[in-house]
Amino acid sequence: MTLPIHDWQFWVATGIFLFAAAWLLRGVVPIPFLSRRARRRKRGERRATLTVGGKPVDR
Amino acid sequence: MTENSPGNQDESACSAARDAYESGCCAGTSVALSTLRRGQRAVVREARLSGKDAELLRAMGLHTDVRVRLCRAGEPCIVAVGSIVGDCGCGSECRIGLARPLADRIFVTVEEVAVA
Amino acid sequence: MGGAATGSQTRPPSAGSSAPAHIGTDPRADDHDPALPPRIALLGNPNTGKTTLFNRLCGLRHKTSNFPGTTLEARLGRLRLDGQPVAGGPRSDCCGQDDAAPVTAHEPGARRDSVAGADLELIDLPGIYSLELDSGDSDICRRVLLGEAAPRGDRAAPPDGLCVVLDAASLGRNLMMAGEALRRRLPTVIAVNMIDLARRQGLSIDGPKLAELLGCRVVLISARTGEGLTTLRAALADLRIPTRTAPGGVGEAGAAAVRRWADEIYAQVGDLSDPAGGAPWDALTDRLDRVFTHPVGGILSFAIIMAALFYTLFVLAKYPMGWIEWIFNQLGSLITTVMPDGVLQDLLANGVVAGISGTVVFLPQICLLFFLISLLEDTGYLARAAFVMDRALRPFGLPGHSFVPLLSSHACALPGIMATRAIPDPRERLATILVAPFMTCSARLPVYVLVTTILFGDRPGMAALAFVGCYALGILAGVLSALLARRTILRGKSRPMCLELPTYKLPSVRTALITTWDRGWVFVKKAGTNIMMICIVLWWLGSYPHVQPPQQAVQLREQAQQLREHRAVIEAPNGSVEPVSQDLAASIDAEAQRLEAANAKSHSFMGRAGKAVEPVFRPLGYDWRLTIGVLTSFAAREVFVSTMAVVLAGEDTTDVAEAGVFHQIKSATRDDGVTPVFSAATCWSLLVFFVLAMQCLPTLAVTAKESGHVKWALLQLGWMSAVAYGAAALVYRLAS
Repeated sequence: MTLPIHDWQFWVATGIFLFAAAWLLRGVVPIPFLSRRARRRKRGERRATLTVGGKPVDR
Repeated sequence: MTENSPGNQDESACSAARDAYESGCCAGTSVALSTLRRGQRAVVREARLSGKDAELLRAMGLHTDVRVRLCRAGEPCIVAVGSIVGDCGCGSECRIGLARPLADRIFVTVEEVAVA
Repeated sequence: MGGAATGSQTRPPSAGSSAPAHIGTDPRADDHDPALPPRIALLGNPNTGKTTLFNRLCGLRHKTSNFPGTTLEARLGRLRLDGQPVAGGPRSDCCGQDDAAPVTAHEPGARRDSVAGADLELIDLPGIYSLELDSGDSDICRRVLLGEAAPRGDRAAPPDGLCVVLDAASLGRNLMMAGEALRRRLPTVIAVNMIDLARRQGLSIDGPKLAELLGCRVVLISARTGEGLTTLRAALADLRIPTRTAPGGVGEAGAAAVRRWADEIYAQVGDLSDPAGGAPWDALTDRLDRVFTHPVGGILSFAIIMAALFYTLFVLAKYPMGWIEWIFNQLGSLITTVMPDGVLQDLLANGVVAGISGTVVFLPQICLLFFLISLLEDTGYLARAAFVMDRALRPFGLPGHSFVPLLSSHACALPGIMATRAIPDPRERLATILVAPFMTCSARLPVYVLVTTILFGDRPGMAALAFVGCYALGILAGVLSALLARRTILRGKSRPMCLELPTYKLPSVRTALITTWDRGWVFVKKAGTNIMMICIVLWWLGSYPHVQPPQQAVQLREQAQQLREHRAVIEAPNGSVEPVSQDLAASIDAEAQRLEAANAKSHSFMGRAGKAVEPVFRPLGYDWRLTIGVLTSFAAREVFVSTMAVVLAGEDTTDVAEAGVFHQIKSATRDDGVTPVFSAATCWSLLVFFVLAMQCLPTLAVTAKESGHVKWALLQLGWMSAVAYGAAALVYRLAS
């Protein structure tokens, strides 16, 4: 049982694999650059709550 | 539409509908919608339905004083619901399908004898 | 549009406001980001042709997304106004109260006074009967109008204007919706749609009078034929706050006041010029209704229509499926030709291309299904089918209201579960939520297509029958589960059903094509992102670590080598080649290759995981490869086909590029090299498992949210898994 660590193509493939795995897990684990929250922050968006008289309104 | 609590009124509504039918559908008498015959026209007078059902039917256009025409009797009961325009009583209309228990609780006055 | 929703941004409806304000003078203009086009919300009753109008105005320039926190779909589209006269076009059907000051699209000025060269953004809201109803659809419309909700990825802000779509043929009822819209005090235009149908029924509508009475612009249109749309575009570009409002209030009194107001207006604008005009049409509708809702005729016609739909699906889809497979084969060949042998070539050919083609090959089936269902829906038939189903559902403790959520679940369980908000009774609603995932969603289709094609490859009739059988099994399991729930944990009476029956009409091919494009594009995007990523992950896990080839394979290689050497010897005397030895050596080499590939896969990270779980699925007839497929499909069902394409890649002696993914999956064998992975018994077992199993994490999340407690989601998962496992094991035993 070996990993072909001397083959450069193995490392490229492993990099792609890690990116793909991070992409799939981005909804579960907060990953910088990939998580939806990070992208929202990049766009300058933030969540807001509807308030009346300073109290949140139950939707 | 008048709202009455549904629940135990199922039986009373059905028997009221039956009585009205047995006593004969004639103009001016308030009868259950389910007792109309195909092609008969009527005006809705009252609906003994729960709050949400009554609200939805009202929003769909099946409210008090609206003119209806029975397109299909039975289950489902299909009525054409139209606005009352001028003297002819015709106008734009939409079709609403109703399950029998709903049609049993909507009371109408018949406008004319069945044509079909 | 403004930023995030706050209390200060929402304005309460003010009755009696009368200043004729242009969009440009709206105080909310200060909050608007000038880079964003004005947003107009399309509001109206169901069946008023709102979506047809949206498609006409925006075409393919739209995107479909959900409202955050819900799975109710919203469509956002761009309406191009380039070079078009905004208020100076044909005015015959445009009736406004302030026509003295036309504004053209070319006129310079502030964004809201002129939209020259700019676009408008249209948001297609769900069809509702009233903004005041206590239902999910009405709630989302209210929140959009208040600026509290926006489609995912967009900022929540009140729309810049309203386009209220009314049905000309039932204008009296539709005017109540217009009244509610007017009370919102937003810049508004009224589009009276299906004017052609109304005329055919002998009904004429006095547009200018209606505009005068409503205090806003009114355009008589036919979204189907395109009549009046130029004028509507112009009116949309020059929206104004209505000069009049409608009466209102809460409860019965408020509703009665709006009703009286609507009746009075309709009495002044509606004219039945030809009372007999609609009679033949009505008679035909009556007759069709009687057939389609008949206790026997209704069920018979429903069965015939559904069988014809699926038969057409299978017959027509096989050609484009073949073309797609051919394209991917060529792509695979190109990669193996152009790229040197190595890990990256294998990743691209056997991981990415084989994986994606395994899913994309089913695109024609999915597109065709949505196209045909859209056509059917447009005819007005499906509402009649709802009543046929109502009779069928009631004995199982489900109300007729459940039909629409259950029908929606046939596309996807998420909108189906959200649609259960329209079910008034909480017990009935919960029962519907619990059984909705039993309905065959589109994610199951690739699996059904794969398995039914393996079973009945050259018999489309039988394949269609098996397909319909899968749908029927899902429905049966759903209703039986509902019955069990209603008899045990959710006892109570069913609520009777009421539903508007839309006019019968010829379906719009344009609308069906746009719906198909929408769904197909979502599928392709999913294949291009999530499914591709899953394929890459699976390829890596299936390729490493490397292991020594098995002893048997080494011996076979040596044997083949000896044969070649022997051939070399006998070639020498006469210069001829011994064909038997050559073929034999090649076939022995191929067998050695298969053994090596199978050994490598079974010792890979993926193979070890599959083997660890395999005993659980052995009673269902699945080997470790199928176990991997089933496990990955818990992330998303449609991943199964791509997973199998990647898992089985390289095990067959024929190359993917030569034979195609489908052939490779079909002909794959188990570790013994003889038994097919997809034997007939395994296929039936798989089919039953995928029909019944709960393999969708988002659905579980929505169930927990909508039912109010995670215990219902766990119950759903436990029950569906148990039923699927038991039924699949039984079927495997019976079939083998």
